[in-house]
Amino acid sequence: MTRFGKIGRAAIVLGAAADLVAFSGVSVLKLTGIGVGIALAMLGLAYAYRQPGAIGMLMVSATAAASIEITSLQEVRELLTAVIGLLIPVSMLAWVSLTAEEDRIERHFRGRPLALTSVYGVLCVLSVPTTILVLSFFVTGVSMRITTMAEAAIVLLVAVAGGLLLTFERSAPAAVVAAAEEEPR
Amino acid sequence: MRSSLLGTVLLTFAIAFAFAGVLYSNLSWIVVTVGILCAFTYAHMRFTAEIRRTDLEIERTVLDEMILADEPVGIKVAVLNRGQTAIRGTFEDLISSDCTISAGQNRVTAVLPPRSLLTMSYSITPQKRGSHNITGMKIEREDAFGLYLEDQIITQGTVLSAHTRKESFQTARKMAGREHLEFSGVSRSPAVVLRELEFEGIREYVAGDRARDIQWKILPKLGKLMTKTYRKEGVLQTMIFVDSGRSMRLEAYTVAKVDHALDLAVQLSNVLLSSLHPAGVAIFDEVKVLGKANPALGRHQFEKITRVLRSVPESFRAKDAETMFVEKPAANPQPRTKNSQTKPSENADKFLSTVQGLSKTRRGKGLGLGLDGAINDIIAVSKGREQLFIVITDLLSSREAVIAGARICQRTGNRMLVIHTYDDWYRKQGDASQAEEIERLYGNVSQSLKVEGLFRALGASYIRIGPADTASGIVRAIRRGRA
Repeated sequence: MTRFGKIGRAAIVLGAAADLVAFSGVSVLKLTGIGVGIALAMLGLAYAYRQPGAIGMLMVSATAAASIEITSLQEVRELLTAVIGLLIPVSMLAWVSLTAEEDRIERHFRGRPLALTSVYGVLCVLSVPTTILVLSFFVTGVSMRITTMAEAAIVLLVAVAGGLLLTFERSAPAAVVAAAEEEPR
Repeated sequence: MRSSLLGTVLLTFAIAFAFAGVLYSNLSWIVVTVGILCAFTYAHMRFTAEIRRTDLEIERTVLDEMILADEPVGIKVAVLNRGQTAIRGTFEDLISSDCTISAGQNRVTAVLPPRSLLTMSYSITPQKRGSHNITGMKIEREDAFGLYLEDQIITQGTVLSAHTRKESFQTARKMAGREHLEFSGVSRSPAVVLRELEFEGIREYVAGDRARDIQWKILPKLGKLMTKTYRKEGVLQTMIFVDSGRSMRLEAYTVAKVDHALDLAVQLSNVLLSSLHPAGVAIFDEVKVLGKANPALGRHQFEKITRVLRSVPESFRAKDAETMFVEKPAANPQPRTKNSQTKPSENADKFLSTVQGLSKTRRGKGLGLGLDGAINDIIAVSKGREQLFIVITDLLSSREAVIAGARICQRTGNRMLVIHTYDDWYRKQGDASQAEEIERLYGNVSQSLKVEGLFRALGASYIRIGPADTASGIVRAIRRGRA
């Protein structure tokens, strides 16, 4: 069972930052925002403190989101930008920065949750083309008139509905069965 | 499962990003929102799975052999994580509200890796006598991402049975050897310590009689030798019965009657044992005997008695001090006046009516319930040896049983001493200027006097005590013949 140490996680952070910079373009403002965010994430990782890591992740995400212009998720180019240039690095960054307090992380972080989350993320991004595909079967020509606002609404609707569906599963009560009470002393 | 502070902050940012996406007509913000929601979803599902697969073994060790009220007791807790996932959070041992932490901490914040052990030690002080339940362990769990919190309770409990206060045992120790509770009777067992020879009568001289037993003074009158006979007089086997019925356990003011009775039982038994009286103790309630240590003189007899007395149920405080037990004859209960200031709770009424019903239906000479049944049992196995029964009771819920026991003692030639914990002396006195209160107190006193008369008629000794009466005072009163 391979585990991610701090160096491995730092490499992931740097890789995600490089990915975001590559897709965001290079300007002083963007580089400053992403740089400060990465520095905070690294500090959180170094001192095993989650909070600066979370702030760094938010800064990097916000800077990247402001830098990358995606107006539609119907085109393959923009879809790839959204997934490779934004969704995957942001998710990786979130994972690394939020687990900063752990010394080592097991690489197999629960197969079922990981698979379901991956499917959930992909479905959210592909929700717009899927919706248009379904609509095109019934109403011809609607797909040509769909706006960015409508796409945003579809993605958010799918994200919220999917999130609620996946987290609806209630946490089970304590798995430890009540043991017989000890004899009074 | 609830969101942590960090989770709430991140969720707020995610919503803000979603608004930004709508505001700027830029789907990048929406994709970032989806990324953050992915982290939330993954954390939730993983946390749920972790909670479901929790496999903890808790071993709690009480470090002190004897637990006393108001004395600290050490507890060591070992938590073994047998599962495959680490447990993050605060582990808190759930102690009873009647206990206070005297040293150490009963909560530890830690990450418990798989197949590893967490130990913590602390001391608690039981505030009162009785059973104190450590119900289990509460774990305020946090998920791996710090986004969710969940309280998990593992019900692996331990019951601590706290005995009465240390001072009571110290008093018993001090009294032993100083005070003497003398009750003598005919000894039929050579093992019984012989105290003296009591004159029994005169009979004709038989060859072999000792010369010093011959009654020389009546030889000229009768013209034949007569011999004085004596009977051996020895100590009595003594059984102390402690009433632990509901009325005894009700703590109406400063001290519950059962706690006082328990202290007295500890001290009296030690006085008896120190005077080489075989002593035993039994606890009874309205329907049964809860625990018993037969009279004996062994080396560990006091230990046995202490162990039995430890199982006396704890006292409880009536809500708003509204439950009142008014002493009234069971045969013809007085109707309650509407404007009476006493408001017995429904439970107390139900309880008393049930107990009264039990006593009414029992008319025969059967084995009886509770006290009288136990007295019958002891007499049955005593092989005709004279017994002394000391009953510490408030004569409320077990009055019929005590009277029945006194009748049995009278019929079988055994002795009984009733120590009556008088209810009115154990409760806060009301406004005595009110006529109803005075009437109530007067009625109780007159009832108590009638009961006393009944006991004396049955040949039982009787003493009425209050919370201020100590064991040494009671012993002296008995010795001076006030009982």
